[in-house]
Amino acid sequence: MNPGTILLALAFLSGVVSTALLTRSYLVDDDRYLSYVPKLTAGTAVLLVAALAHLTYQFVSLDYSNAYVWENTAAYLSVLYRVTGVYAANEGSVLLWASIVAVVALIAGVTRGFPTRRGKLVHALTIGVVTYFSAMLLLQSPFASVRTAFPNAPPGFTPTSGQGLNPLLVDPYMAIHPPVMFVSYALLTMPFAIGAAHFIALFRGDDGLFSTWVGSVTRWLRLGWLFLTAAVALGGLWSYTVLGWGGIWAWDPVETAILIPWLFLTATLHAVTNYRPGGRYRILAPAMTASVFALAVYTTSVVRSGVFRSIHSFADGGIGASFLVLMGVTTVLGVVLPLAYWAMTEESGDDTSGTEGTDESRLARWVTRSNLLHLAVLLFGLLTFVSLWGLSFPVLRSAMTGLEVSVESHYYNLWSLPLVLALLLLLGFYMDYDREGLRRSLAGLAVFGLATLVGAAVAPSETWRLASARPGDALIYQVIGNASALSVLPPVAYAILGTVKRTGGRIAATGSRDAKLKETGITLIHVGAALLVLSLPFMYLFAGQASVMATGVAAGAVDTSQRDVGTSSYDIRVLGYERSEFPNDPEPGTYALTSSQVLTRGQSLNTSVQTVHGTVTAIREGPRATVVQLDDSQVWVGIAGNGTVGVETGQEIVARGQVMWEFVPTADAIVLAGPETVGPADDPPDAAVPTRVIATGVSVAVYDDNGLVVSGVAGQREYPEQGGLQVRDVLIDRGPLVDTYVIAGVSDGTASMSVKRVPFMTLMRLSIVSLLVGMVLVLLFDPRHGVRTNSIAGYGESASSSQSRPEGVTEVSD
Amino acid sequence: MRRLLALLVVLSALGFVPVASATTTVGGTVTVDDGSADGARVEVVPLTEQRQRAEDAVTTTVEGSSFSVDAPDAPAYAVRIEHGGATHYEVLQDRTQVEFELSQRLSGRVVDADGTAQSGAVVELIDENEFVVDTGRTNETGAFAFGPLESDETYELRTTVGNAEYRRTVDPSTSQNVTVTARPPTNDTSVLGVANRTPTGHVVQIVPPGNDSDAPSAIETIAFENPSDRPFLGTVTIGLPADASPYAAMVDGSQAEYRQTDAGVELNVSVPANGSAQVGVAYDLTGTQFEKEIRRNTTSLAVVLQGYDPSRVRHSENLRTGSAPIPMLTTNESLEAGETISADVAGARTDAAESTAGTNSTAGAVETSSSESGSIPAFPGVPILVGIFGTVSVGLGAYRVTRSEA
Repeated sequence: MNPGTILLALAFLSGVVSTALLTRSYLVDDDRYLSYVPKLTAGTAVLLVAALAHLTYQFVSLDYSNAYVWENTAAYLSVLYRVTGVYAANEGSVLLWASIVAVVALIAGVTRGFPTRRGKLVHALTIGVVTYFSAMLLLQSPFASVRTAFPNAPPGFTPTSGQGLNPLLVDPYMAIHPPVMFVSYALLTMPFAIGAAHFIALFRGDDGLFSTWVGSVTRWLRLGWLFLTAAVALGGLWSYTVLGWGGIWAWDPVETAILIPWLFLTATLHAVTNYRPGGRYRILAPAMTASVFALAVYTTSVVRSGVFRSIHSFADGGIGASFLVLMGVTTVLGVVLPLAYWAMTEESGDDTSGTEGTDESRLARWVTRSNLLHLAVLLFGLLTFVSLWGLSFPVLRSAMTGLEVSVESHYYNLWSLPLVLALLLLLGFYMDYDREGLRRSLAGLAVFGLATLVGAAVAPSETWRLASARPGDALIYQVIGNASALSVLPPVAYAILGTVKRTGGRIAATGSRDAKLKETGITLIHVGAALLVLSLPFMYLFAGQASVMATGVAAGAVDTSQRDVGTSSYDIRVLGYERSEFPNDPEPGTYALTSSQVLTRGQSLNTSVQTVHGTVTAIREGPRATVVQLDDSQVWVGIAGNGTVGVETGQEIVARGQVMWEFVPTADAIVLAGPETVGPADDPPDAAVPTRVIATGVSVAVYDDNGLVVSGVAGQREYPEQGGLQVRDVLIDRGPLVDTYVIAGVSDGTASMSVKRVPFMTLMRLSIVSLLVGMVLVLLFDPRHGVRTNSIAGYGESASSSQSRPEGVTEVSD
Repeated sequence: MRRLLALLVVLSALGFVPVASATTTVGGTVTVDDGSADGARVEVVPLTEQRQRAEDAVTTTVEGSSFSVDAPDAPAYAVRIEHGGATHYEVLQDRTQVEFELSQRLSGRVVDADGTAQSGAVVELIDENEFVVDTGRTNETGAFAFGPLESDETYELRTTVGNAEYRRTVDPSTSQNVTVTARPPTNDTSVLGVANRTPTGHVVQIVPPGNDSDAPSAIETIAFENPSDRPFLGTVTIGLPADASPYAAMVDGSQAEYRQTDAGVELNVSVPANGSAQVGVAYDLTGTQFEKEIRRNTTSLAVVLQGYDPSRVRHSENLRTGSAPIPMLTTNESLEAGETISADVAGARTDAAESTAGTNSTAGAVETSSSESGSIPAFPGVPILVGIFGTVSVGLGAYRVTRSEA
């Protein structure tokens, strides 16, 4: 038992107790013992955060007695990347996730309390999730002793150096992407608990709690969406710089796994907007709310249980089984329960939509804002399904037929595009209809819809075609693949036009500052989404690269004149060559044992190869070897060979060799080294100080027709101690229209350099910023469900106050 | 209940698709004279165009007289059926149905030149695709029997007596009984000829040196065939160009010992009666010139010049530039023993970077797209943005104008 495990065990215990108390209190409707629950909830959160802090401290202080620390960090890493090591693998990721859920549960409990019976159930479910995570952590602990990795090691054994962090994670984006993602997943726990509790209540003959909690649900969903969007974007930008895919997206399974909850969460936000207590969406909105978290757990399980050999496979391992159980539970609560309720309740007439426009034609009765929103939810649902199916298909197929297949990006791109374009047209139409009425908006839709179809047929050049269709492809791939990217422009323009026009009108119409800010947020989100859709196809279709080789760069004999890169308009100049190694002569204490450490560990070191350091206190030269005493102790270093060994008394030395315990009568331990493995501590021999990172690169300057585009160093970092893994150091010029992206592979003095041009990256960055800023505005200033509004009105008493507030404009739908 | 039903339909449809798509149903019938193939194991192996295994095999069993199994999509399939101790193969190209009609039987004896039965000799039955269908041993009377066999297949019988191998091609539908006479082996090289096979029976591959200052080396392979009824067991000699120094030799795909003599390289070779053997030797040349005398009549010979431009190679008149996708020289007509062929590769190296481009693609994702080197399409970014925002502002204006009219 170490402190970390004790913290986890206590967190688990207090979680179990408070879950049990809340469940009992819900079942028998009795508030006895309930006063302990807030304390226990706080205790769980504090204990888990303490465990996380303890683990982080172990990482920062390089405590290799912890196996997880030993596996995921090394001394040469800076503090930032030592902290990144905390969530480099499953155990730490789950601890981070659990801590954040615990904090979220604590905040929810403190702000809202659980005065109602159903509130207790919601709280029981969230604390239950935390408790489950704690149990997972006890089963596969991030605090396991390093002796689990070295079963034969004696007690007290601690390695002197760590394995190091996965090189792909040594990147600033990866330092923040996982926490942001786990915050968003943790935030989705609350809507899940509310949705699931709603259906449990319905099954128990209650009328559910969704209608009174809808404000709360909206806030949690929006906050979750904000973090999830940031997480997806950070992940994409990481792959852009680190993996060199030449864009932000490659439909890697893990990327798809985080996109699926994002798409479905977006659908859910629209569905909750369309929810009317007792009326429209009375089943669908709570059902989707409950399913988002189940979907996030499902995609995480698929990816983390090692089903896929993807770039993210660094986090595979035995924790997969626990995820599968969690997946089962969340699926039952978040998907099966609502579906069962839906299947059991018989159709009760129409949903009374379409009561407006009674004097108009049948079309006018059908076209209502709620039906249009309905269509949006449907399209987002279909988009989710496309990705979900692509992710699940290989799993289902290998389970049913034993055959493994992979899904190509072709599938995702070509099925998603028509749906995205339809969504944009719908967005434009919805906004237009809301402002201009049916007749005028139908004309707009006809113009832009026709323009889309014409655009699809007109390809100025082959580059514009979405995909080069292969003869064996299905008809749908042939048709959509042959369409031109020009078809993206009209829907984007229509969506922006409609959004700007409608929200502009609304902003002008309202006097409330909060309502104005909220409408600005809505504009930013929808315009941002349209611009994102604009940037993506062009980023891929119009990307290109050209390569050139330069020989003799290491020897300094390189031709430094400006030369063409392939047949592109780029020119390149190689200015120099750089090579450096890390760590560069570190402190001996970080990689070598002192003589007293050798003596303390004693017999356990016998015959193992170790690095030692100390001050020379005696030298005895023999015919075939020289022995050197360290620190006037019983530890001696034997150096094979006769003649001088370049060591003198009083010198601080480092030596590496096999430790022989009680090998000679005059010394307790002798380290059998050779002339190559002994050296002064301020200039240690290469054999004693393993090189962790070899960075090689060429400094280049890239020019286009208008002059210098970018200059700097491009190359690679090789990690010889980690299987020789290589990570690229790329050189990127972030231009307003296009990014110039330089990759260089340097080996044997030859540099092969590629210059890529990636269009519309800056537009994409701006659109993501627009999405995030927009959501912050909506989240804070929404007159009905905003955080600010509620904190003014008093958060605690909002349990029964979900009526729309009189001030401000009417909500998104009627 | 209608909702429940709808749910079930959707779920079963979702379950059906992964099984149905991306697979091909391979099926067929297996009929056996005087018996049944019921329960026989069937294995379907997806193959590539080059007849390499493409994906894992799927297995099923014959029920009654037919079978059917879902296999991954592939250009071709090998179907393998185990019945009665024998294994029957068919390779399916552009079809997914196969009929095995197991109706023929084959029996025979193995005797020596005096007519004495050879008992305990291993007899193998090989089909047209070179798969081993069945193996057996002869009994005390030297007899063996196989069957039932496919009615439309020609087989090769292979048997080993002592250390010599005998082969015989048989068609069970015309001859159900064969006697293999194991005549004593010969060491007379005159029974051997250079095989007249596709692409060629005699190939010389000239390998560029790793370093420009060195001379190239050559790898020469000759397929010997023995059309006689007597196996060949002895030594053959492969001639070397003057001053060439051999460094390795090969017989039937495995490394073999060799002796260098004045005439060339001498190897111990065994060529089955009615069979063939492939013999090879590798040697370093002393210069860029390759010249040697042909020791045996050869219908066609090829000089493969990977890494060289054949049009820049000076060569003897009995060679011409080949039309195959790989760079090579071929013979115009048959060569008589004693004729000399020559080729000088001086100055004919193709660009070194080009020939090694495939091997040093260590950079993974980066290098894979190097084929599109230099293809950066023009990007009309400004027109696209102007188009979008132009449309938006024109649209806003248009709405305002039309509204005031309305």
